[in-house]
Amino acid sequence: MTVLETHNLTHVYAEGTPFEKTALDDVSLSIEKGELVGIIGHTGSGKSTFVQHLNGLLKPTSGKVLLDGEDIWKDPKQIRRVRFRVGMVFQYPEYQLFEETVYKDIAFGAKNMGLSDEEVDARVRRAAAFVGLKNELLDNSPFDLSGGEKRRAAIAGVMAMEPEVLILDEPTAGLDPKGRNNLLSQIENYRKENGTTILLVSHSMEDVARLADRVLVMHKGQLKMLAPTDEVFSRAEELEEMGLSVPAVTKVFMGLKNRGINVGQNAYTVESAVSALVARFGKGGGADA
Amino acid sequence: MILIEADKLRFQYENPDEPPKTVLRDVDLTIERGEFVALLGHNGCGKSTLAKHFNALLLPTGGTLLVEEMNTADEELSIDIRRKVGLVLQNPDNQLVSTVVEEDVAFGPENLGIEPAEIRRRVDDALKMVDMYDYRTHAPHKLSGGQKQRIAIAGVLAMKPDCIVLDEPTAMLDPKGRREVLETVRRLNRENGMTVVMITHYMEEAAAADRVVVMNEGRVWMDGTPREIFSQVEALKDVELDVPQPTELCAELRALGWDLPADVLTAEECVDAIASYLEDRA
Repeated sequence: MTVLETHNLTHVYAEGTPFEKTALDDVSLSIEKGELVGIIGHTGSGKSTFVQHLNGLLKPTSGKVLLDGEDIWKDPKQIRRVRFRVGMVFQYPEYQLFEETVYKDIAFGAKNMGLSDEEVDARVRRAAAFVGLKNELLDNSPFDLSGGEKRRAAIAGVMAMEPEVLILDEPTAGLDPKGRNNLLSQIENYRKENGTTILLVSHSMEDVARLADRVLVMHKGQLKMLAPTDEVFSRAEELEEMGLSVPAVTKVFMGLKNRGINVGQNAYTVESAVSALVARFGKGGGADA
Repeated sequence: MILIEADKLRFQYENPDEPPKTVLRDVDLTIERGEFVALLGHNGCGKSTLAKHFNALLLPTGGTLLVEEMNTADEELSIDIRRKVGLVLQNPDNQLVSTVVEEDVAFGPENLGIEPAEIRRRVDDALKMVDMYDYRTHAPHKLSGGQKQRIAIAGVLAMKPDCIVLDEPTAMLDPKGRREVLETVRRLNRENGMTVVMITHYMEEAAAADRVVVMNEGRVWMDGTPREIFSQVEALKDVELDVPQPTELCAELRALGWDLPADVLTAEECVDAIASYLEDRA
């Protein structure tokens, strides 16, 4: 079932001035309920402009955004409701914390939705648990948290709104490997339990390879690819022409194919590479398969 | 020749309301002139704190830090030390001060009171070294992240330092920007003999250095060539650090009985290793 659609979505910044720039050029696509779509593209490719249309932070210059089949701008007064249903976590969200306590900060969005205090409380605790923030931290000032904890508190604030679609813009940027791994697992678990549709904007091909069902590639404001993850990463040359890259294991597999070694399929995570190689050539020791 | 030498370096943050927090515990480390050192470790392991000691932004609470035999504890030497060691930070937007690229690069040497003609020469040289000379009259805020970061590097180069310390210079960049910055840093090291210390969370970047120093809980935990360090896949994984994907792939296959070398770093080496293993077996 389709949850989000765009029809010929176009956005022009500073229209009619010498600085006019088409940031989004005729983008039509649909996102299915419950899928996780990775969005890649180099800086300035239009990916942030694109996601900001999905919850009405930007208004299309032309074209449409449909949520559950309905134009989100049909009644502009109701756009706030769209923002409750499509939640957005911006880049470096830890700079947006502002409340006295971590609890109040996480509760802020849910409270604005007009939910009862009990419901808000339940959601805050659930969201905090998803991102691995301990209960005793909730009464602290958010400014006493470590960088990684701040990031997770900010993400929990959007999760507490329990949106149908969760958009994360570079959630792992600047985290260390441990923080990155933890956060990615938490996102995976959140999705598994809630069935939320997730859009993940990332510069890390490894992160996208690990999580995404499909990958959306933006380049110069246009939609270049939207396909299953292995299919997108099998088009390495095209990606490199757009200033993107493929995971290092994918390069290894391409190298083996160029040597005439038939590895059967493609691989884009270390796990899938190991199982593909073992399936084809067996375990070590003797000559088999 | 030794450029930077830390001897039993200790550092703790003092806060009147809390017990002091020890960040560096007896760090012994020497950095030779002309080396390219990658500094790895988790957030909070002390690597940025250590880097800030290299140009006397922080002073040791115990032990010593010498830069070309100048003790950073001697505040009269601070200016000289900061001319020797330049620092580039994570966020390019926080480091640019001017509205024109070449003026931005000139900021440092102007503050050193250098002759205008010499400043002109240094700015041009620095911009050429980072391959941004063609952009000298552009506005920095309109450049890409990778270009901005290269301008920040040029600003440090114009001070003619002996060493550049970069604290996660690529963390906020896209893959293209990351490649640009890494290539620039490598070229400065190889062609201009610049000593480089680079903090990074990207293992592929660390693999490009001559030497990798891994910090853990305020101490130097491992120190060696990228091959020596990354071949210890298990130890690194125990402290939840990553290894480059090709290294990890070979390690997992070795565990399943494939006879592959332990010190594979790059995708090309991995392809070679797997291809020759399969040939031998056939």
